[in-house]
Amino acid sequence: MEEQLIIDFLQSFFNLFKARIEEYKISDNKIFGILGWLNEDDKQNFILKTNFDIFFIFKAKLLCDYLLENNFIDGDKIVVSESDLVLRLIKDGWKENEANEAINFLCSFDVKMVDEGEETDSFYIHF
Amino acid sequence: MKIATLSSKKLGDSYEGSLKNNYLYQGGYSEMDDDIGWHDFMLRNYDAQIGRWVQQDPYQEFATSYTYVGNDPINLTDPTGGLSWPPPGLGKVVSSASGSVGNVLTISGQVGSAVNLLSKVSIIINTVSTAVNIISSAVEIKQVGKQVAGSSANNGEPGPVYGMGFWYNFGKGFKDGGVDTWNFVESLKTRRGWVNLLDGLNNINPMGVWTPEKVSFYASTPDLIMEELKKIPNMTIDDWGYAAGYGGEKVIEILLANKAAAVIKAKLVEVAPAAKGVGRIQAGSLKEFKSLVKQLSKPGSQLTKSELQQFEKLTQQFGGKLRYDLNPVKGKILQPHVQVEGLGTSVGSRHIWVGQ
Repeated sequence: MEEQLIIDFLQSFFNLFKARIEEYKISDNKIFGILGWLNEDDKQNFILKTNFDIFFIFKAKLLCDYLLENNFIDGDKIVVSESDLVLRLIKDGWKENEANEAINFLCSFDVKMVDEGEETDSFYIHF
Repeated sequence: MKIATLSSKKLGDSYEGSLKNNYLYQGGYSEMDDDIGWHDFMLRNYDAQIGRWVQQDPYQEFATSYTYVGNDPINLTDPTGGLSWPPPGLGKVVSSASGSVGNVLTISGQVGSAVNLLSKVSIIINTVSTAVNIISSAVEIKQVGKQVAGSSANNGEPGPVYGMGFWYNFGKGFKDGGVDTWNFVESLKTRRGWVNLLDGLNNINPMGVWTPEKVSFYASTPDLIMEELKKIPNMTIDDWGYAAGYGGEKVIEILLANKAAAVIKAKLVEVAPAAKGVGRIQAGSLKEFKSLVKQLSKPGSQLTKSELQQFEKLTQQFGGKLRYDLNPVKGKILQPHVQVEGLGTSVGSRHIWVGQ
């Protein structure tokens, strides 16, 4: 259940980068996986250490979906201000504390890219 | 055709079979590669046929990256294919003091190779600093009335620790001298380090004339320095210990300077790839470009301003463009970065870090 929550969130998170999880495995509190992109041959290995608070996962997934649906993301950047985003979320039925918590969680979250066995860049979202 | 007829390569061919000297260009700085006719310098290859460097200037020293010493071979030389010598401004400094830029080469003892250049400059600066530093250290110590004080000898670090005796301060002086030496060697990784070095030489010796004889004199007479120290009145045993330790380190430094030159050379080579700048912003195909983006997205791979310009041009050549994000305000990583757009979402996810 918990594992599926994380994977669902991860897929929503990677949707922001137009990527999809093609393979993954979970071992020692880490998720190892491979991403693919539509119409591209490139693949990207990634690793996620699952030592974060799972409490916010569900809302963070909804936030990712919300950002994508509303075209609020450009590359890795949320293109509306944080206060605007909170107001819009509230307007769409979110509680203020939930919106803030989800935003804070998402802004502190990153997934490491792995190139030739070496952790290099990261997938992350920021304002 | 005329050019070919008159070229040095053509001349060389006619002497094929005779004893060859592969160290033609700029003396011993480079070795001639017979197969391709290039002069192999430490950092770049030089093609005398066309009078241009084959690779771009790793330091972007001049407006165009392939010209030799900015088309000023009368006043400048380039021992490594990296920075021209003397660095800009220094020629004027030295020439204004000595009346000739040529004295810069006198300083280096008419060297025949980059290694010799480095080693001899090392010897000179450290020999000179031996004398000046020890004496100024002692003088300053005296001037501050026996307080623990910084001095020119140790770049503001505390000098002797009074009351601790000769041997304690000997060790401290020796250690401080070693730190100075290390900092000096490290500084030679940078243009600023070389600028400081020759600025320092000029300050120490305003006439700017250092002949090999003078170098030899100072290098071989540490006893003279100690004799000079003895002339300074009111030195305590602590002063003596510190000065002797500091001086001792400098004497060893002088003796090892020739060996250290190899280390300095190695360090210059080591630092060269990072300093090469535009040298790393190259890709001949989209695949290579994507590979480059991966390399540049590694932590610590910040682009310089000129590199960023090169990278933007390169991105445009492949049909993409850069999205600038120089001021992220909230998120896990807030470093300025750019991202590539229009060349695929995989490469677009990468962060190309931009130096502050």
